[in-house]
Amino acid sequence: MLDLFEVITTSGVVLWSKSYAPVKSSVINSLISDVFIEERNQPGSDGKWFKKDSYTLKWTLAADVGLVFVAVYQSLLHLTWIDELLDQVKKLFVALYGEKIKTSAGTKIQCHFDQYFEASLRSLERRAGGAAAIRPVNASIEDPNSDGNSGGFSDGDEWSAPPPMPGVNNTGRMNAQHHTPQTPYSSEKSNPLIEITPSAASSPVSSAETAQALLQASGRRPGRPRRNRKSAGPSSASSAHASSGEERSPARLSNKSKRGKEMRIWGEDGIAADAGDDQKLDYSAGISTDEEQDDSLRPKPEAIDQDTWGTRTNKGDFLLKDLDYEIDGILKQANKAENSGETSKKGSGGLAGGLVGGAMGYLRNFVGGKTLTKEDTEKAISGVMTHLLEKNVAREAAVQICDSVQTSLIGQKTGSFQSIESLVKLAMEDALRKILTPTTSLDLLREIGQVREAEARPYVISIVGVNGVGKSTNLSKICFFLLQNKLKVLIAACDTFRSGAVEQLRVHARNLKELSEREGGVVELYEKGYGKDAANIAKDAVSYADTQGFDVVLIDTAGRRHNDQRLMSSLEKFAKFANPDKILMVGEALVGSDSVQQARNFNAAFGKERKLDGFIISKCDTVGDMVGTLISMVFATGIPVVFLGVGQNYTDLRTLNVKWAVGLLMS
Amino acid sequence: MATLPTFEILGFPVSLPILIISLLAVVIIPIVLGTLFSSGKKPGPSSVILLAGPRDAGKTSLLLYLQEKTLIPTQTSTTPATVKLPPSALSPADSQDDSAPTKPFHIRDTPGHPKLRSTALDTIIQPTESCIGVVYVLDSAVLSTQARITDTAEYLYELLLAIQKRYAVLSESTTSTEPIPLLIACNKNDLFTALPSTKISNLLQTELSRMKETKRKGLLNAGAGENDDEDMDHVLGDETSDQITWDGLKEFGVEISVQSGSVKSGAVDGWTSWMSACLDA
Repeated sequence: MLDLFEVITTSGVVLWSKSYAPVKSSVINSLISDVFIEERNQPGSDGKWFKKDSYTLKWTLAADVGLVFVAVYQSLLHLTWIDELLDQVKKLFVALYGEKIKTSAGTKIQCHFDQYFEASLRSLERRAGGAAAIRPVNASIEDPNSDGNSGGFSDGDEWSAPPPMPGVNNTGRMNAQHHTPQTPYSSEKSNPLIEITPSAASSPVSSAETAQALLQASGRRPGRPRRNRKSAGPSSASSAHASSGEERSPARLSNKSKRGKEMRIWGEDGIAADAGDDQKLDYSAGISTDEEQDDSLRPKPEAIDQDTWGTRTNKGDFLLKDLDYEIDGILKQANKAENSGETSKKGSGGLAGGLVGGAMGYLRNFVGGKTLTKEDTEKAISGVMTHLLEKNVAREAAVQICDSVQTSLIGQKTGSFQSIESLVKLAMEDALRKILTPTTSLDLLREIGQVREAEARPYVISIVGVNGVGKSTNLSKICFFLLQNKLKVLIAACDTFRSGAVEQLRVHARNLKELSEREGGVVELYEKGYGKDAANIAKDAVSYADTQGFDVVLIDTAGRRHNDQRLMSSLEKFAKFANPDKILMVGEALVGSDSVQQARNFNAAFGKERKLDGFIISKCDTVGDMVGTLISMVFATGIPVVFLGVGQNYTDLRTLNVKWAVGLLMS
Repeated sequence: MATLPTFEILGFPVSLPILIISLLAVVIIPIVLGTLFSSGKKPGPSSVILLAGPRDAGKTSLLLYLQEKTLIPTQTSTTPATVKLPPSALSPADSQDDSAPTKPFHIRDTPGHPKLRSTALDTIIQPTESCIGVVYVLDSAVLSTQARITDTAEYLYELLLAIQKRYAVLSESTTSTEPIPLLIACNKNDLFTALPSTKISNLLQTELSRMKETKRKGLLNAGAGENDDEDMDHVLGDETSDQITWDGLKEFGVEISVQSGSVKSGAVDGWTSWMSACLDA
């Protein structure tokens, strides 16, 4: 079942919501910040759904009025009609309140949408009911055996050849029996009705009890005799007595439940099912009074109607009918408007009208005030895309960024004297800025200080990357920067594979020592030679640094190809052993479309809990303004760029200036 | 009358001046109309109070509370919203305070997600945009963890820097510039874990000082030195010391006050009276 449905403005106001079960607001918040703001789709979702905790979220946007429609339901359930519901509710809501929302500038408006929503939800559930009706019945029969009807739900979706169960055949026949009475055939109809009423009248004992009886009965029917025989103790008499009394009513009850379920998907909980029973009862009574004035039957259903259920359902019924017409009308209008919009765009209708429209459209291209469609932006978008590709942005990233910019533009109006190109360019700048802006603080010095203060342990940074991108060089640049700030640094040589790697670091350490002696920094190299396990060396280095009172440990690792599973798998153990505070990946600015895959693979290599913490983009001085790798890598992973390498000296390390990077990319 | 050259267009005789005038009219009228219709939008709304702060602090809730006087559920904002409010929105529901300002004012709510903070900063940096006060809303119940303090202080630092920049630009162009008032609104003080406002004030000042120190020691930005005007005043407050105090920032164009309150329990009177004071100034 649906747990929550919300209509939210982009400015964050919940305009309308309907919850069927308590859902934490952080669920939707994380959808907004992950998908809408950071534009990170979950793997495999293709931007269509979002999973958080045990919920699945689906959404649709109404960009022109700035609304988001979100439906939340349990991931276990497979609700096929959610998309339809979202679409229908969106059309209804925009038609009813669209104008109000536009004038209110994104704040709260009054909307009494409950009835509309209920009605459209009901109609969709009813339509889906054809398929859904069988499922709950099947589930309830299986229930005592399988002890979990959720499985029945999801399996039911692939319902092709049901295992021949005695219960199913039964239900089919009973269903048929129950359909017939609806035709005016009073003698047969009176039977089930009269038989039902006593059980229903006695049912107010406790709704939960009857629900339990329902479940038990449906499960017991096939196996009851056997079980009774087995438990032939003293209690069997009483239980037999009870069941014999029960026997008729459970059969009826399960009977009714089938009728109820024809109509809707009832929740697994007994209460909903019970309510459905009563409602169903009244409903049939209502029909009977409409179609045939059977006086002998009238009083009994009326007597039940005195319960709150009756009046409510009656009222609901009348309301429902009115609403259905209204909803249908609104939906038809919305569809018509959509269609006419399309046809007017294509067909050139009247000659004069077409000419005037064309002239106005042409004029608007210059003067502004044009509402953008996908076709309008096509040319400008493809222009920007080529521009991005020329800036060395990976194709995959460029295509996705352009797509998201395009969808964000549809429905917008151009400003006065604003061409589509300039609008697209502005939107692209915005998108790039959004991608590059980090979500967390990147102040390394402050973090080191905080860790030293609070936990009195060394701060561990490890550096990973593909071969030859400049891991050791950037490590020594970072080391120099830390030494200038009078920190005590230990360099751990964990590249135990490539010959000369340790010697290279030794030279760096010697140089840095000389350079920083005056400044007051201390640097030492921790080495264990070649051929040893890198993870163990790293662990030893960290504990050594802890005892010796170092502030920072910088761990150099062996370069590895990102698509070599054998080499990459050792990173997980490494992350676990060394447990670095920051894992930085070095990526070349030179690399082209491979950057996306590099970033992704390295990000996934540290196991489930650990991710990369940042990128160092090296060799930025060699590419001029073609800094597209920045975008590709950050876009693929959502991980920020911490440093840029811009030269050969120890001082040629910079932090990223988002404005500068966006300026270069758009120039 | 000198004979002017005439043309025949579609059989009508047309003189040259008329032709020129009509052609001019055809070109100019759309431009004039376009500017006329759009000119209403160009200058932003006047007397704007800006709401800024980290996400989940209660900015949108505060805005809606002022508007509707009730608590309305909200989710993370992705776009800013500017709302025009009557001055009565600031007076407490029960009192008839006649001294309240009579002019309507605007409140601009901005998203607090780190990637969208530029909307608030842009509003401040643009000297043409009106900004008579800034309310920095923060969640006083989560400041017990270092990560959240850092996050909160970082945004505040950027905000203060932007205000300082705006002040510098404005004081160059005009003779007398009033400092921009900034209220640090410590929201959610109804919660058990909420810190008192004095404690938050101290925490933020130490954190900002530390931030200033590490920023000074930190690496250069990429592209630094290429356009110097950008990086001129990257230091918040006084350049000689790393200490940041609210008093010290006054001469750099920010007047800071700190007040606790809670949107949820309706304790916003302190904030609204601060806003009225802003409007009166």
